[in-house]
Amino acid sequence: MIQVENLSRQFRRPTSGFWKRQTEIVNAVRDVSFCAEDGQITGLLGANGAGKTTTLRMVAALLKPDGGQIRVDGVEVQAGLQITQAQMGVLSDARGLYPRLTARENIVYYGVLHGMSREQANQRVDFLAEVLELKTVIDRRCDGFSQGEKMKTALARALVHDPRNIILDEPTNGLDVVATRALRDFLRWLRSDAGGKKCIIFSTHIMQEVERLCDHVVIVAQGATAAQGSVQQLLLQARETDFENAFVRLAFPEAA
Amino acid sequence: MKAAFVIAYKELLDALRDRRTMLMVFTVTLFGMPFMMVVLSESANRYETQIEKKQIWVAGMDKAPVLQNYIERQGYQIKEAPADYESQLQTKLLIDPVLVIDADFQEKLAEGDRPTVTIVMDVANQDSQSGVAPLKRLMQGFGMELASLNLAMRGVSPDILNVVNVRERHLSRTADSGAQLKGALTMMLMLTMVSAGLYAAIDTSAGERERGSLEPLMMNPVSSWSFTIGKWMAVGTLTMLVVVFSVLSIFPASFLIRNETMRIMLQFSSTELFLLILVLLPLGLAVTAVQIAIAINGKSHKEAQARCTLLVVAAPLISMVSIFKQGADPVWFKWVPLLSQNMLMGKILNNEPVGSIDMLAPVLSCTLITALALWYVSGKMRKVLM
Repeated sequence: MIQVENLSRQFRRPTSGFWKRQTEIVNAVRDVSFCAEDGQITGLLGANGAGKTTTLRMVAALLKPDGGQIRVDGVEVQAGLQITQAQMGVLSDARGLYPRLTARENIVYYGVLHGMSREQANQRVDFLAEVLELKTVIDRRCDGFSQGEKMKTALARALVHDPRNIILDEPTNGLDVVATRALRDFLRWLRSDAGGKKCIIFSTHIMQEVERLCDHVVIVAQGATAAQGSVQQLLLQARETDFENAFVRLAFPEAA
Repeated sequence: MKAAFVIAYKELLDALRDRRTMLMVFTVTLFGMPFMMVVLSESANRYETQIEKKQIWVAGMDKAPVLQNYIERQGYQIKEAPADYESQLQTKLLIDPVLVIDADFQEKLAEGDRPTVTIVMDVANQDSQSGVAPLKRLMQGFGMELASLNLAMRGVSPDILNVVNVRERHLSRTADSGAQLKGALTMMLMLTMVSAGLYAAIDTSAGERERGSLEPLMMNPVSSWSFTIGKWMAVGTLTMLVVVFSVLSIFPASFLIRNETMRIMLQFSSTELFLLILVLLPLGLAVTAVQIAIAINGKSHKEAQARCTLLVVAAPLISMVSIFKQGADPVWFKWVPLLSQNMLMGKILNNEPVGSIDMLAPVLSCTLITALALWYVSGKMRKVLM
């Protein structure tokens, strides 16, 4: 379970000046709160620049929040420390692979870093390659992979250690329809009892994804939680029948 | 520590598959040292042949039969210089200096006056410069012979010309000769060391940031120290392998040397080569750590490369500081990395005794630099993402 309370984070962005560097303060995240339960898919829905990626980076202990608290399975997350990272599988915005290593080598490397033996990691790779339809390219070097193949390899790499909590930042980017459907099925399976009742946080700006997949939706707008609940609850709250209209009404009330 | 080895293994595997890194490694190890030794031996060869070939170019030899007689008696073959010798020297068609004799040479000599001869060469023509010294010696010999004869004819002992008897006694050991060549050898090893692991160091730090693999890597439950040590071990191993192969390539390279004197000078024992590697080991590991520390701040290969070039340029420059010192090496030299290694390698190659303090001091300073650089990298590894 992942609990996020009143999270905030500012950045200093350089503006101009050659001799004297000038900066302006950007409030990337102002006040984000939500709770992602085990056995549920929680969707973080927001427009570009709403603060989804910054929030997820803070949850993944990569970024230090200016304010607020994050707890993973009851343990407080501290940026730069690894205590909570073992329980998390993160597919972040940056999903670079090592192009000179094969897909298998890329995935096994992360497995071993998570404390698995090479045999265990290889067995897990075989399983993930089957599920994510990576079998044909699993022993090929990643250099020259298509966008979808890269995405699936990065996803397999994030899940190699079978984490209890899974954080996926726009995982369907670059995937075709068939691959997207396969990924959706796989996430549903991970949510189920057979898949281990994982806690899954899923960030996206695609309404369809959220409607079809998420049990709980958190709408993030201008760095703050604008609304949250199930898709049905959000439709009721916005008094809309179309989810896209509901999103616009809840995220940008002034525009609606 | 297990994680550090896992990281080192992956980084080495990655580096061995990187064409850029391997091109650098192979070029430097296989061709660097042999190429430099062959070039140096060839230039020495050319110098020696010039001295030995006993052939001089003269313009206006017919104006000085006495001088012609002297030159021929010294076993020199006289060649008539072409009319356009000046332009030929400039265009390097003529590689020896030309002795030009004034038209009134014989008359002035007969009158007891001082005739003039001119040695013509082009400063830009390296070969013509090296031929000047033998020509000067020849003319001095001619002057001495005439002066001695004149004095003898007047009943004065020619010894009067030699007021002081000058003798030379060389204290240097035989192995001391060829200092210049050995200096070049140590400089080449230094250059090899700072450039060998450069690409691997950049790829392992700034390269990770550029391709976006550093962020997912930092999400693994492994301490920043393990990442730093693992990456440093991999690049350090690569650098030291290159250094070991470069030192070992001195053996086969000596077969390519045509100059006999040079070949004798460059016959090092395996103990000497082992000591060279031992001296370079701490420096190589320190250089690697510093390279990673510099490169980690780069967001791309290009940026990191620009930063690291400073190190590649600075390394040979620091080792050149020893050129400006006068007399014995100052004590502080042995505490400065690069300078101390330069000094130690010079001593080893010249068969001079090397004290344990001489060996230990650079190890300590290099260890300190390595520790500082690695501490900096481990602190930065996660911070650059924040």
